[in-house]
Amino acid sequence: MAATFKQKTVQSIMQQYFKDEKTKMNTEALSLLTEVITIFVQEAITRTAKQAKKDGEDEVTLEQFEKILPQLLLDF
Amino acid sequence: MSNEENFENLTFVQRLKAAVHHTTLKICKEDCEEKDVKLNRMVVAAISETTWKKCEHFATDLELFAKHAKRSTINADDVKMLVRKSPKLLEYITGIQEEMSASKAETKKKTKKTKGKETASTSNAPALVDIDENSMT
Repeated sequence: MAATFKQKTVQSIMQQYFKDEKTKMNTEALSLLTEVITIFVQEAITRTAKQAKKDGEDEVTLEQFEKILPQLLLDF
Repeated sequence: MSNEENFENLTFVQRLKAAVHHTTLKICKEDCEEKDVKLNRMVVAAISETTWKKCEHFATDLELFAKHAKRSTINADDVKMLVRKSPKLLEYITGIQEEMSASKAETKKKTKKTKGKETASTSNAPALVDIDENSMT
């Protein structure tokens, strides 16, 4: 797959949420976390699409996403 | 006011959010082409918002894990701890980590080897040429 998050973006997002400004991330952790976040997004898409197919609808709407959201959040 | 000016006026956080949304949209487009489904714009927005919120949880968790280990730098073990609850994901992440460390070690070895070769070849090359020239004449 080609589209992934930029490591710099992930780092900036993390940095602004850290309570202690001294907290840093090493490169290995950063690339692994980037992978985790990318998988999270892909998983959300896959599950929503699957739910839509189950419901027998061509276009995916928020209704399907709402259905899969609780389990998605529990799994990550 | 032009769009560019508007963009400059956005806060840093808003720009980060926009970046997340942009990447989410890109991943969505790719996945949708594969699966032949159409995602509503609202769904993409909802997914990116969820991702944004999830990042907040990730950040606080990772910081606490590192703090608990009396470190100020987050390392790969903390990330593995983050995904401990889903065994498959943990397996996958561990696999990537091993791959990364393996490739790191390999490149280190390679650079060492090539360096050794280079010094050897540079010292040998002139001598070989000399021999060739001597044999030719």
